[in-house]
Amino acid sequence: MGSNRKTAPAWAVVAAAGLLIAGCGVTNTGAGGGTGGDDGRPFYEGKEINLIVPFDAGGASDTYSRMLARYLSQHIEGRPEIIVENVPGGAQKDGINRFERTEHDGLNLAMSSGALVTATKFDKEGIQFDLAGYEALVGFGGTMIIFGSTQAGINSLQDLKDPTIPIFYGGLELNASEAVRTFALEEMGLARFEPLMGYDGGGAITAAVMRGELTIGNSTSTHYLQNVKQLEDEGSIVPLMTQGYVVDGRVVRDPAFPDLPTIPEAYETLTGKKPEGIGWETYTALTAAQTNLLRTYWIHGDAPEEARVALRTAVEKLVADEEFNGEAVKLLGVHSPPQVGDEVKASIDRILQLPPASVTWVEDYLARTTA
Amino acid sequence: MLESAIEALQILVSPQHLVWLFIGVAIGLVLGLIPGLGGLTGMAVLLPLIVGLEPASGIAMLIGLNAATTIGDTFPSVLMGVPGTAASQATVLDGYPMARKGLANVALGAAFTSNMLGGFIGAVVLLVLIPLARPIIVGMGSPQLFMLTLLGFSLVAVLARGAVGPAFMSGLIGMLLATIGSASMTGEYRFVGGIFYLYDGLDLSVLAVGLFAIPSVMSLLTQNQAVARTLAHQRGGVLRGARAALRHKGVLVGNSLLGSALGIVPGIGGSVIDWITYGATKQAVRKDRDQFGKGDIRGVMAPEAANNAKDGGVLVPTLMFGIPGSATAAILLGGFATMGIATGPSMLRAENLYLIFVIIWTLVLANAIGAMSSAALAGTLSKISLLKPYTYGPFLLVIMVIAAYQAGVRWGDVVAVIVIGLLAWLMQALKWPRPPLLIGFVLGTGAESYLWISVGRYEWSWLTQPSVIVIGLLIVLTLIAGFTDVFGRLLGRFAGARTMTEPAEEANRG
Repeated sequence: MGSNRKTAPAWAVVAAAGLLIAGCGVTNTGAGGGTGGDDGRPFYEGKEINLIVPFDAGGASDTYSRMLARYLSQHIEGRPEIIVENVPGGAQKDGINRFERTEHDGLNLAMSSGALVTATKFDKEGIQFDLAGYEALVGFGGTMIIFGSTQAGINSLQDLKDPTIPIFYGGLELNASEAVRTFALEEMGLARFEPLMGYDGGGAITAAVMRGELTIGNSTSTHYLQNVKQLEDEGSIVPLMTQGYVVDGRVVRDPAFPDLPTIPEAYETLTGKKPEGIGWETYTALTAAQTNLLRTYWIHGDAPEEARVALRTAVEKLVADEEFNGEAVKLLGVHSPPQVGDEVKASIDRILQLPPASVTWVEDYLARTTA
Repeated sequence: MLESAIEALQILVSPQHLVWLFIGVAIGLVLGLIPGLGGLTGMAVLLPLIVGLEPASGIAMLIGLNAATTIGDTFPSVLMGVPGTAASQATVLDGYPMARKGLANVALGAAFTSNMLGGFIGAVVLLVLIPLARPIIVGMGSPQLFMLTLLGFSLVAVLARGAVGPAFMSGLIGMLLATIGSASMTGEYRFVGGIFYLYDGLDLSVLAVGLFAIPSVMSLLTQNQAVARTLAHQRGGVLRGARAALRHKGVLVGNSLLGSALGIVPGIGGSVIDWITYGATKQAVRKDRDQFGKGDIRGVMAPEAANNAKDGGVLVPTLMFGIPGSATAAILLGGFATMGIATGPSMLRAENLYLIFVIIWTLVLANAIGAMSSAALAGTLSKISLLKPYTYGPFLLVIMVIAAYQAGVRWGDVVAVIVIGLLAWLMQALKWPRPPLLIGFVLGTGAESYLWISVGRYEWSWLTQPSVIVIGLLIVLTLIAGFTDVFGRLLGRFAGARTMTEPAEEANRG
């Protein structure tokens, strides 16, 4: 095996690269920590925080969390390093289960989306944690926008009531989050309403709306501003309404789309009726979870009081940090309204304390629609 | 237009941008080289780092990385019979037998030439098609996409080489495996058996590693013989491969165009394009079709040309409509947004045109640099095929299992790789072909949801759409061709006395 020696450099390259990749995989450290000293030193001084992100590396939630980690670290007294750990899978349940198993010592944080909060009510399979035992430090919002296809004959909200236009509405997956939107659209009394699920991403929905296969579709406001807006400018897509945010129990307009009505407003315009009843109550509760809490950052409720106080102070400063907000807008294309303290708690409680009647309502609705 | 093209080239070749291009290409080559890792991993890791980078630099790095991955992945496919990424599985079928004959250098030379020219052609296709993209995107509805998935599946018959029954069974198993997890149409979980890991379904890269890479290494280890006994034509082998590749202009250009065209259709990934072009080439060539799978240089060229050409095609819907044509394109879109580049028709405006050219030049340069540096490394690396497998096999196994774990950081992945590896070994023993399983798996999810949407949207009237009927006829033709080989004989008669260079001989002559 004389050739062994000659191939050694090549193998060294491969091995080094392997190590490089394994090493650089999924960590990103924040700004350096300070050096410790006297007795009354800050809780986080010289420590390291692990932030679990239950999504793949490189996606919007991951990129956002890494950016946030960098700024948050600067605002926490003692400047701990924050290391992001990606634990994707199981519709975020894998990651939060793992968060539950970590030490409740204030050195572990987790991020989740509103879909996870909803899942604890409607899709409990595989959940090993209880959100009621966690404290939400801060939640950043992001709304959904519903747009129509001019190709299919939709040029304004009123066209949805045109009896000659069948309304095909497309989405990714029929789950509790999607159920409240299909319910609300159905309630608007559209001529022939047919939800079509199974599209494999925002892009596929956009393409289907472009060609008129779908009459209306939805996307997140970030995706809309970055990828769909230009189709609106050239006239092949028309924005119709947004899911809205929930403030003091009422659905309000998205500040990024001040001219677009919310879904309940659109309902009122089209039917002349006030949105009332169990279906609309559930809509409000789930909207609070989905849009107000699009990205929420958690700490264990039984973590040391010192740690929780330090983090509460830090997020107050974080949401007021202009530089952070500027970079967030650059990243997402849209400002995501933050909620801290009682506000974020209220949004979570809305879903955690959802009346049993609402739970049954969603389950019945899903069963009916699937059948 | 010309001004923008020159301006873009000037921007790109300035030292500070070129450095990023080199970084991207270097990382891409290494990621391709290691079985189980691919462009997706690299892009995901690099994405957070490009915040604040200048657009031209960021584009150079991301697109350079993506292009280089499909060049680097050729090494393990040819030298060890282990696909470097999911997109180089078809290369194994002929590249590995060539290595066994001691022609690793020739195979690599042909592959890199195909990579480079395919990449060039893809870039040209991107340039030409950008203004014409709209009708293509608008014309491909769910019924057409469903029929295309069936067309892809019908290629199983072509690839089967006689064993049509086992091939279709294998393909159907793949489709079944694709249904594991949540059904997006209804939100129900299927075939999960209470195992939490399965709720998200199986991961393509885990399946590919388990299905092809693990059994290859295992059988290398059990036989413990070097892949090749002697390395014929050590000197100049790569160049000879390049020259041989250039002689098959039809295969090269045809597959590059086919690869770019398939890349435009959102939802068809590199792994499917790979098999489609391989199958189509096997059908289309006149001479010595039975050499395919035994070390035919054309079998190496077809997927390799198509793989790099597809990058240009994928970018058409990505850039024009913000509709990502593949998973990597989706990450790329995120990167564009981070750098403040608005995709969509506004890219065609005069002040933004240079960015399109930056992308096109990046594709050209990245493919050229990647292919040439790979060719330079080929001489050294091809000696791997002379090594006894025990010297690298165990190392490779560990790397692959780590790569599978790295894909999702889930222990279930490690278990899944082993279970699928055992299934693959069983299939090998039964002489059931494994490629159809992967084709079925890749096409299964799309086929199911496109069919569901088509029926929900059009009931059964979609079956009467002209384009659906045309694709339907193509499927029938493909099946007839696969089962009977009637077209090959017809073409052979038309070709008459015309002789073509014998590819196997040519390769032997080196």
